[in-house]
Amino acid sequence: MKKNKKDVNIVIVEDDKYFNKVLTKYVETICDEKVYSDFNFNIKSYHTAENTIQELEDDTDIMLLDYYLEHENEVDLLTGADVLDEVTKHCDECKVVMISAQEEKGLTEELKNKGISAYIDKNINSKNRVGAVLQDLLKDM
Amino acid sequence: MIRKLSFINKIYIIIAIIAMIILAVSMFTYSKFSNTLSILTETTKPDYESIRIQTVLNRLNKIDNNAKSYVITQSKDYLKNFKSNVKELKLKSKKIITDFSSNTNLLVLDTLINNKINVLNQLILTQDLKENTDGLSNIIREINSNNKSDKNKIWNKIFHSKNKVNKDEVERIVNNVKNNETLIKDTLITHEIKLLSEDKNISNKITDFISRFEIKEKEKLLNNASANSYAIESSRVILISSSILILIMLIILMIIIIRYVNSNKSYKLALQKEKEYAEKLARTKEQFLATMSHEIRTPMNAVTGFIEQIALGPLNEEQRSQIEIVQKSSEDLLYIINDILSLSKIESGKLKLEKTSFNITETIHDLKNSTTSLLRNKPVTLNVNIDTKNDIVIGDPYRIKQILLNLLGNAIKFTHKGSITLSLKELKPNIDKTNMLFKITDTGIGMTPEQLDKVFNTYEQGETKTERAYGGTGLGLSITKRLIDLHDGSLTVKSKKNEGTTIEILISYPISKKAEIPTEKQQPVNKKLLQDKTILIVDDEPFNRQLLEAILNKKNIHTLTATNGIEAIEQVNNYHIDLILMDNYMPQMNGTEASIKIRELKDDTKNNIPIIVISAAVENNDVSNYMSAGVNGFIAKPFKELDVLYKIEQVFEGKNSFEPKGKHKNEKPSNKIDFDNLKKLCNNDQDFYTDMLNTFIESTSESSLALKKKLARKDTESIAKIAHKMKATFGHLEAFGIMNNLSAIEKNCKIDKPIHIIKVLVDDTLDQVNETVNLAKQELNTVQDG
Repeated sequence: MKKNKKDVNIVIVEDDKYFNKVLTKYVETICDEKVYSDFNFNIKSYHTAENTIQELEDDTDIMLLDYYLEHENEVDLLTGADVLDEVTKHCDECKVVMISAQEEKGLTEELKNKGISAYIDKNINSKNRVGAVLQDLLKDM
Repeated sequence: MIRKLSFINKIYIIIAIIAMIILAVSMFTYSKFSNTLSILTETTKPDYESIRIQTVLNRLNKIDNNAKSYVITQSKDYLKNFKSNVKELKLKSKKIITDFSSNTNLLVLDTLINNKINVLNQLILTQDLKENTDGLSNIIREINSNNKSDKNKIWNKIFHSKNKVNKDEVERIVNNVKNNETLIKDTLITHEIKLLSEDKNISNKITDFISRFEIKEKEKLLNNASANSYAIESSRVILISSSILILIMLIILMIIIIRYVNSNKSYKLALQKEKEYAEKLARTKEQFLATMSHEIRTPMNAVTGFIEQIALGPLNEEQRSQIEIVQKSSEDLLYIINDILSLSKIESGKLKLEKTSFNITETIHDLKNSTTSLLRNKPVTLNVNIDTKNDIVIGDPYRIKQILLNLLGNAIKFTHKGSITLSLKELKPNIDKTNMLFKITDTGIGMTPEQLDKVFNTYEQGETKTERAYGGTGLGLSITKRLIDLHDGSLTVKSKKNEGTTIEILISYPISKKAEIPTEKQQPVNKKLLQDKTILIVDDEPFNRQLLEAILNKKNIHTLTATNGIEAIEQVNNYHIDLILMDNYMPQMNGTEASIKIRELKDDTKNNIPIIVISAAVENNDVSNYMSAGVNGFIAKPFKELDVLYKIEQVFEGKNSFEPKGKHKNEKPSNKIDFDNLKKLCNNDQDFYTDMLNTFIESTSESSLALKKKLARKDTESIAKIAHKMKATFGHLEAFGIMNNLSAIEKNCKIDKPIHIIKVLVDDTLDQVNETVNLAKQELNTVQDG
């Protein structure tokens, strides 16, 4: 008998095209439906805060968010903070995982207070960390 | 000593006083009120005594009326009423006396009433007598009495045998009777008058008694009223005075609170000042320690350096042993300086752990090698046991070494015979993390529980005398403890006096994915590589210049010297120089500035001379500043001969701690990118790999273009952001040289470094980035061709 799978919607927001693909691939590798047979993963990725906010759905479960979103062509720039605000407003259940370089420890603390679930340093071990964080989050679903 | 009352106590006391006043006033007012109420109740209660006395008096009046009416009218009804009223009156009077026995005056009233009744009875009697003195009946009675007396007389028998009345006799009798009657009547009238007067007298007395009784009652009422008004008045006084007292207390309370608030404000201000002062002091302390460290390291450099040189030369036995002692002492001194600095850094929260991949078992072996010499001739063996699967972990190798070195050093210091064992065991490893249990067991002098409690405190050793016997600042263990805390590790110590100590440290490390760590062990210096080179030594300290000259000249290296940055640039312009050893802190122009200037020279043969900074300023941010200035290597003071030679050799070979920025002929491009990570990620998915390579080329080219644009606009904020963004990509490809450069660009932009410095960095970085893009393109071609 076929089980009713739970939809897990994951959104990746990273402006760097290369790193965005790397992250998406990480997530796809980790969210293997052979491993998580109860879940039906739906992974989307965006490069800008604007696109993310426009396409944001309130049933988003997990968001990997680069805090320093930068886009050369946009004059009136929305940032990772704006995305975080929208997510907290509209997606009650959404777990936000912040991804950034490690320099700003103070900011990390501030963001944790704002309700982010985890923080990932952009370093070579991102994959392991992304894996660990995702596995943790999926455990609770 | 009188202790000043605290604010809270003052408040409590005043509140207690107010509560007591309120309680006392309430009790007093209540008692007064209930008194007044009872008096009022008493006053308003009907006065039964006077009512009954009034009833008795009414009855008495009735009796009086009855008696007097009877006297006038001789109506039997009055007499009858009189008698019944008298009877009743007597009863009532007696009852009153019994009911109000306390009032002895009532007995007087009773006597008066009885007297009055007597008088009235006599008056009635007199009246009856008067009635009986009626003339006709008297006459008949007289005659009858005469007849009776004559019957017995012979004469009467002769002449009055037929009861004939003698006229004269009759007249005489009548006259007699009349006379008697008049006499009696007069007597009776007199008596009656006397009785009436007596009656009046008694009535007056009764009236008098009543009026006195009424006066007394009135007085009583007046007394009650005045008692009431007194009670009310006194209550009012008490209420007013207590209200005033409470008001005063409240005012005092308010004043205390206001004063407290004000003094709090001033305390706050004082505290603020103290805090600022303390912070200033802390900064000064830090500055002082940093300066002191630099100031001590610089002469120490000369001391250790020259000792090393002397030790290498021909010496006799005695001189050698003396030199060894000096060497040992300078090493100890350096340890102490490092201890003080470490503690200062830890305390100010500035000490950050590095995260690099390192081989932990090698660290343990290194430790064994470096500490064996400390055992000297003690009958102590040093054993090492290692039981690990994951040797390469991510962490701070220097700090774990420092922790273990401190503990091993202590174990060696306090163990005089037996053994010391350093063991490493891996506990519960998983895919990403492992737990390393370091255990140091010795058979030394051990500690008592009391000593154990204090041993990790700053500046404390097991005992004060221990310090004298064994030396040391007592900082080592405190630093060790704090370093373990910084690792989120745990520390357990078990010790028994005279039996030994066991220390266990558990630290969790992420497992590194790297298969092995390239060893940086110093290889024998390649003399050929160094021969005939010309090295410029830039240092304001003559000792240091001489020392470096001595080291380099031994290796047939030509040396030039300069005492500051300006001189250094002159030398660079005037001579052919292969490498510069540059001190950082110098007068007129420091090493960093001089390095920047040299990098900015137009002559391509001059602007790429490798530069190695030699400085006692060894903080991370100092090093990153040197790096930002475009230097190729760094040597910390104090240095050893081999450090200098090895570093020079490394730089000539193009492999050094910094990614080289110069374009020295001997340098190899080190901006190699590692596609392995990407390949692993793609998991043999060729299309994805191609796509990723394309993305990398496209994205990096875009970013490079953006960097150039922003540089032209001198928009440092955007440059910082772009550099930040690019780091992740190069981090993934393990191009750490570029990653470091990008960090330096970001940092320099954020601290508003002059644009020309940023330009040098950006240009340099973009060259390297372009190389990686070219490499990626080559890889792409290979993949597509393959």
